[in-house]
Amino acid sequence: MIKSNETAPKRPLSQRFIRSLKKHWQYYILLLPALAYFLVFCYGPMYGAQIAFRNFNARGGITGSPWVGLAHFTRFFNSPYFLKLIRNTLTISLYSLVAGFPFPIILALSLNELKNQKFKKFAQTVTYAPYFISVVVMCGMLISFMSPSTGIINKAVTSLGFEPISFLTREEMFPSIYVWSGIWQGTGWGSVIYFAALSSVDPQLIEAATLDGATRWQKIWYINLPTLMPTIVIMLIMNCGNLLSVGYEKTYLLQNSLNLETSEVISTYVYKVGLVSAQYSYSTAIGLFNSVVNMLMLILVNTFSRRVSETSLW
Amino acid sequence: MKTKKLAALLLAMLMLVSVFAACNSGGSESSSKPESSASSNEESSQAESSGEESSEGETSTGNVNLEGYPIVNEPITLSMMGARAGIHGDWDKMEFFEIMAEMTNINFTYDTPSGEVFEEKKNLALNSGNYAQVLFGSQLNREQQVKFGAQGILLPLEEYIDKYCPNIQAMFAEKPDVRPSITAPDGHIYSLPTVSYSPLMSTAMWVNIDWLDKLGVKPEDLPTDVDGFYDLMIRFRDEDPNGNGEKDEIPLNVFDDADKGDGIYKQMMPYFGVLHPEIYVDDDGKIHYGMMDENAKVAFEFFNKLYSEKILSQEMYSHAAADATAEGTEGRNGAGYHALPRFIFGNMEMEKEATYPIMPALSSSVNPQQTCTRGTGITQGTFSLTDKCDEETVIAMMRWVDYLYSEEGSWLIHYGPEGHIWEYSENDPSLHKYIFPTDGRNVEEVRGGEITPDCGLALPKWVRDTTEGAWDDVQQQARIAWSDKSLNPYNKQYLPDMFLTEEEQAVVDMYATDLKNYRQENSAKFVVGDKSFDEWNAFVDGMKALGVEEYIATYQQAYDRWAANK
Amino acid sequence: MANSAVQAKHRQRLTKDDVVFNTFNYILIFLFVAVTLYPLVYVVSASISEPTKVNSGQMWLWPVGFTTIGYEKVFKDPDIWRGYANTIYYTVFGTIINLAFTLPCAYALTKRTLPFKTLINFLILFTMFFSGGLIPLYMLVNNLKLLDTVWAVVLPTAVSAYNVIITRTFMETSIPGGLEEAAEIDGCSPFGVFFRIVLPLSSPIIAVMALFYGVGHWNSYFNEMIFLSDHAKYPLQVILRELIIITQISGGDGATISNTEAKTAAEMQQLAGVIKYSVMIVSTLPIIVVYPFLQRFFVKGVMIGSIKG
Repeated sequence: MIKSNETAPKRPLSQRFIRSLKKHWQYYILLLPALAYFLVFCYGPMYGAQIAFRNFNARGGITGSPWVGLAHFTRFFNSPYFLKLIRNTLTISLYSLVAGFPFPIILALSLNELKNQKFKKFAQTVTYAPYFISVVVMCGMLISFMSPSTGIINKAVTSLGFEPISFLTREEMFPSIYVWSGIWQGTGWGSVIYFAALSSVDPQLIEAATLDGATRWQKIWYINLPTLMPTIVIMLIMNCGNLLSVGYEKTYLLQNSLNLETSEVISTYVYKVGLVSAQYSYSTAIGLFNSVVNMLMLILVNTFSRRVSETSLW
Repeated sequence: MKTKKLAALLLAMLMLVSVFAACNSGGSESSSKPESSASSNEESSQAESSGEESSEGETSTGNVNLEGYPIVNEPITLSMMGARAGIHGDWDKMEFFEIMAEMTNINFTYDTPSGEVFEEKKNLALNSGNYAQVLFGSQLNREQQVKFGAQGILLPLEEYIDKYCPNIQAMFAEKPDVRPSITAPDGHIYSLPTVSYSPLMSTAMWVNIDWLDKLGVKPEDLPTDVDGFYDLMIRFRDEDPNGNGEKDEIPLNVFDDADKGDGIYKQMMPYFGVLHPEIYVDDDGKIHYGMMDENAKVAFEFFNKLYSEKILSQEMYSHAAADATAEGTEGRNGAGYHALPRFIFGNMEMEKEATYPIMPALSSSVNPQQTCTRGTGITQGTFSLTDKCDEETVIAMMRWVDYLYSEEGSWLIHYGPEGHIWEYSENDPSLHKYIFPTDGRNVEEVRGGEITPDCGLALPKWVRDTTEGAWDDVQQQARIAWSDKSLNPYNKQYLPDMFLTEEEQAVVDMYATDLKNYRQENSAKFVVGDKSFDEWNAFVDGMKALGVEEYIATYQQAYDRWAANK
Repeated sequence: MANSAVQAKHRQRLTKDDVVFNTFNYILIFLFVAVTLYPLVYVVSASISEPTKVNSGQMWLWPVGFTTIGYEKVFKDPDIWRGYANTIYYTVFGTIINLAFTLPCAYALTKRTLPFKTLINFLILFTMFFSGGLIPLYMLVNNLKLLDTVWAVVLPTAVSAYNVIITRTFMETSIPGGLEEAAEIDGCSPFGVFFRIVLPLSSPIIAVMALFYGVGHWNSYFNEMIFLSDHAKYPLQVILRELIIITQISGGDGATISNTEAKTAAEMQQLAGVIKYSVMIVSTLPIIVVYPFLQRFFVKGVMIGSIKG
């Protein structure tokens, strides 16, 4: 806004500012509903987060409960499980990110090359559907597929002459089970956004490249992929802002005493803390810690991305 | 271009409308609930003032009869909040409430959130001031009673019990554990319990009768110590009792969904004199953390033996209870802990089911006395009154709820009136039998759907010791007979139902999760042999490092207070 | 027309390179499809198989021990059709509100010269990480007198920061900046640009957002359970969850269970095995079926057409 006003350097800043606002008022109208929503429904209740610094009780409520400062945070940091929780959470989420991130992109690019429209629709819908299998059913299926005595996977393993493997009670296997079942379930759903982004590929460009004798592979690499790039970067940044969030439900359902060493993550721990008694303050504090780390992560990655690729969240 | 403009206009209008409607809608539509609570508030303040001035009005002091029925002369309507179990129909159509209303002239408006979110809704209601006058089946745990009681939201009930509730007093006299168990540390009673000391055990080890027959073991001759039990299990494993020629028997299967092994530990550790893997109290009133006991190691060496010799299901830590039942359906299960044999061995006729024996409580070298454990018989927090009730309402409601603790009332709230789902048996008129519905539903669906909410939800009542035996039901009679013979004589209560103060609760909260995690993780490793028993001492030290001693001391303090009140 | 001409040319020049690529591509997609088709077939089969056969691993692809008890139970529930109606209402209405809030907001944020743009971006992003928790939100909804109304279902989730960012990214990258400038020079106001140029060009992202938000509403149950008390207003997911909950009768710790209760529990446990699969199919089939229809919005070449036109 400063550059555009270089022609009138004499005008005081405030006046330039008001002019700029006047010029943009229609944009603010467009913003208004969403901003109002964020203010009322997100920032309005935000005062509730302060119970992380208080000992919440019903008598005092959110604003009147005794102030304890960082006590809940220190309790979490000093917990003998703290490092293990962070380690397991990061292992699972980094593994998910590294292994899982490319699949939706590959699927979208690959489906995009299909000429047979009917098959394309079919493949797209089938790969997308597992997303809707509920977590409970999904975990039930995984447990039964991997059962050492009756599971389909172990039937295959034993028919090849190997000893059955008790996948779920081997702690070293838990991250892989979690991540690959997630990829299995989420790839089709994840590809939707890339598929939409691919629609903005310029057909003339493709045509020109074809005339120039480019191979299919080259067209994907030099035309389709670059079109997807901004979306890919944004998705990557946002995923990095989720590094400490591994959902509790699936982890909890696949967890057992023998894989606890690797399967206990922050969210399942918070859930268990809540089972003992509703410790609002403590779980809010852990949640807050999570958010701060996630947010720092996001800012870091975003800054990096802005330097390197010019794509960024703000 | 025109259509686009039109579309744009429409969109813009929609946005505007939606914003406006958001602001307005409250006024017209959602008034029912807040208003009703407000009006009841008003009512109550009115009643209070009018009561003191003893002037005339709608609710004069004279409306409540202190004896006899109806309880109130002029019908009154109160607000009630309770958890709606999945099996429930609408509460306002339930026969139980209709009968009570006819008898007492007390009616209710119901707020019944689904059981799944009830905990959240209850907390939100109590925290935001949006709560009902009567909390019925509201699952207030001890911690909530302490908190909301101290805050003044829940009214102290003990004075009213002493004045207006003869049935509850009779219960206190006959079951001396009850009163100290429901009295909060500040000396008040904020909530009334379900009390049930029935001879039926919720869980027992049922043994496969066909396998016993095959091996020539009579049900009366089942072992009474762990060594005899072990020998029998070895025979189950090796002698092909299911007769299919394959060694696919699972002598002791585990029905354990999310308990992480605790289902088995809780049942079998008492055989070794450790009444519970976590907190229990011994005969001298000393609190233990079970896994810290020396005998716990003996118990786990035994479990390890059972597991490594393939007596325990090899998938006990990873499969679901339904998977274990499926194995039973295939004729592979020898024994298991559950409520009824059909859970363990698959569906069967009632007459067949009545032949299955219960494995007696066992003894061991370190615990010469056969031992098993039972719960406290008390379910907390089933009935409370809030500060939205005035004095008269409290008296009326206390008389109302007292009826449920009479023998008649306890029967009514659980089974409903004669002729709907039950009748007197023609074989023996002192016994009852079920009238099975003909529309494809089962008895429970009718009971919970139309008769009473006391189905899948704990409500105030005192189940007499004889209630369960009063049925013309061959399987139930067999179950009671087995329990009376094999389990009940050896029963110990591992911990009374006792209150912790807020400070004590905070200490317990601090340690409970980590201790439990650590205990479960290591227990499982000892059982499957991932950890050798040389590391047991290190494991015990680990629990100490996690604060188990302070944890025990806190419970000791609470127990001493409980015992002193008794 | 142009497209089919291009395709015709392709067909003529099916080079060796194309053949290799197609083979490879088809193999890849067949793999994807096979791997994801298996659980779908499994769920459908399990929903009409005897639960013990499923639990014992005998049922691994095709139904074993055919039964329709799960579906009977689901469709016998008198509330289920009302639940469907409510869900459709909440989903359609909620999604319209979502789009009406999200699209203009995302477009405004693409404007690089907008004062306070960074601040607003940050404010929106912030809500992805921090919230005040359930109690304050409930108090707010209560104070706005929205409890037990449709607004309590649609307003607390009216905008998702995540979706705003995705939409903004799409608009920034896929809509040629020159187009907007040209329109502005022609005297078109920002409103005009948004409604006449940006929206028509954004059909792929509108479809995606409708899908994301719509699926969110369709599957949502927690807010509905918290903010609605009137059973007549419950959406399908809540009703189906209750159906599953029925099957989880437990006596609680140390409580005694009478024989009829225990038998019902045994019956319910078996029912639970099959009902969870049929419930899933009943509740998700409609939303899965919607997807192929949305796919036609992902058409190629929208931009080009509009530039030329």
